[in-house]
Amino acid sequence: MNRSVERHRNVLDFALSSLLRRKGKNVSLWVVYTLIVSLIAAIVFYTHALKREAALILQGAPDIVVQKMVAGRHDLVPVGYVEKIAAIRGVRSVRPRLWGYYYDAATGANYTLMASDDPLPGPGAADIGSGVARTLHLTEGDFLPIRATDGTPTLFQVRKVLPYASELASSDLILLSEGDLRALFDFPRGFATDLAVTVGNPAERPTIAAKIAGQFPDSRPILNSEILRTYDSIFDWRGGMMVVMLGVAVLAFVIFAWDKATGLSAEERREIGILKSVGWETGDVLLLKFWEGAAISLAAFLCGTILAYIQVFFLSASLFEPALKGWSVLYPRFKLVPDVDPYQLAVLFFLTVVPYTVATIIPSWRAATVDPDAAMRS
Amino acid sequence: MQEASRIVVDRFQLTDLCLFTEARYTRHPSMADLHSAFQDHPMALEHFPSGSLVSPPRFRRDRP
Amino acid sequence: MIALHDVTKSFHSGKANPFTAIRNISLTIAPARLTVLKGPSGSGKTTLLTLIGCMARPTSGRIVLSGNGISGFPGGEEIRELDITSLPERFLAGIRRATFGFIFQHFNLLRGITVLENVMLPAYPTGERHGEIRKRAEELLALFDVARHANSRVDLLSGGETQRVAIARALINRPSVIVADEPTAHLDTDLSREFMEIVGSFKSDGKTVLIASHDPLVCESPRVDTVVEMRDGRILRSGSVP
Repeated sequence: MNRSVERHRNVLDFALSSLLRRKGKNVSLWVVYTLIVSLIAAIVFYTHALKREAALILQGAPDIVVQKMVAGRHDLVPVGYVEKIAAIRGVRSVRPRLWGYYYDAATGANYTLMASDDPLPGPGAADIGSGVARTLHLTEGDFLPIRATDGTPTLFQVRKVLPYASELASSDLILLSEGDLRALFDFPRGFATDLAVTVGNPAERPTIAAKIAGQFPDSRPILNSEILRTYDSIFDWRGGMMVVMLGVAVLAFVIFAWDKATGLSAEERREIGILKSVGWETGDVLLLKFWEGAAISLAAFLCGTILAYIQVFFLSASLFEPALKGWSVLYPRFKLVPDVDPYQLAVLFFLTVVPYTVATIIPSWRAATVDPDAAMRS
Repeated sequence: MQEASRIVVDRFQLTDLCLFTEARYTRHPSMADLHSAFQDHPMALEHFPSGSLVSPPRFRRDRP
Repeated sequence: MIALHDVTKSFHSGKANPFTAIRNISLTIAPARLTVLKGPSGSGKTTLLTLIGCMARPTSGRIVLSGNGISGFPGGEEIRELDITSLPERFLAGIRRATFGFIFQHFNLLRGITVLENVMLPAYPTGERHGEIRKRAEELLALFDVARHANSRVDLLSGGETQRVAIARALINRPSVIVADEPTAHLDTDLSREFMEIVGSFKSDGKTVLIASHDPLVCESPRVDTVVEMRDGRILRSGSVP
């Protein structure tokens, strides 16, 4: 056992010295590989952590959200539905939600306007999310102009800015009183955007949703579980941007692994011949090649994942920001809670180390099986 | 950070994370209907970058 | 002692250019003696060396190693007699590594690594501790007066220094048999004489030495015990030097 460990150690020592002999080539190989690994790892870490955040934060979302559909499109729901739904057994409460989008032409940003049931001190007051405060440079006491549907601007005084720590959920919110919202958007009386239904027993949610759908065929109940599931499928690898990134990474890897896979140079062949003539067996030579490939890919994996971890969890994925922000003007600032899925990490490790190591060993096979006496004859 | 967001979601009964404020269906993907992504016309190709990151809510595809 | 019984080695049989390097050779190499294989190129000297040194297997015939010097058998057993003709590759390599030390005509050192590392190389696969290998290598380099070059690259040494490094490398695994193929081919008279002196020290250490050469300086050296003359793959005559 001990001899085996020592043998590995000796061969590894020589493998490293071999790599250092061609320092320029191997260092640049390692750097490129590290960058590729760090890109993929960053994507993996970011999406996993974000999905986990979504799953935890949105647990408090409504049990069932009831929308009304007209010709397949989301339409306003009559408030009259509230009583009938509340009468269904198992339903604890039904609350109409009033919310919509507001496009601010001056900044090009989209905000979400919502009627708040946190009582505001009176008409003309608003609570805003910290993203809104940042975009419009507002603090408490400042005035926020909003254009009504008829074009008239109304000023709202900012009572409170929602905590910065809640940016991920509330960055673009503007909370007004119900009366103000209805007046602004000219909301027809007796209608709301949708209904938030609270159910006593979570296990009954699907049955109650089915009952609602049965009673109101034009309604679309959305379950809490469906809301959470939406976030399970963001950053799906089949999405356009992800496919491109993955494709680029795979292509880059193939290109430089190709260099390895196309065989050994004459110099390397000669060296193997000498090794065999001084007593190295085929197995020892292959072990050498294994360690050469493994050393680079292991180093690339370690450095790549550490870089990715730092980038995603300490630098808030700032490199991804341009891609994630897209055309949004308002982009939330948040720090993700560091969380790594060990399974994903294991898969990444496997994909990083194994193909590259194999690509290093296989072409050496032929050369490694050369007869030891070949060096005598050359 | 997480705790503050949970409180806000609970208090105001929010349904989505504020990640992509480009379009309605990217801001509230769980509330989006089939129509939103094709708001311009039925053959509209995705023109918001974040649309390629947020796929349609799965129940859209499963429900008969 | 190494005994060859009716050994033949052919190459490329069944292909376009079959070629028999050695025919029906029977030979005994005495232990702790210097034996020289003499003959022109093409006489089969090199092939015979590779067969004796466990680098290749004979096409027919038997090769038997016997005596105290055989080592490298797995399990560390003490073997007094061993027929290596049909030994599996693994065992053969282990025995070769531990029993034989080779000095090649072109020295065959690895360019680009240090002298010390070159000397340590043959011991790496044995599983010996790195530190111990290193110590022994340093001692050998000191013995041959090239210790100051330990960390230099091989390319920077003179011919004589390179030869001594090659000799040091051949000794790293403490072999009992030294095999040299045309060792003086690229050396001047002084260095050739120096080489033969070193060979003399091998003999006094009890090692068996086998040299293939057609250099008169080697063949006619007073240290030689047996000369085996070869031509066209056969032994013309073999006899001890009085």
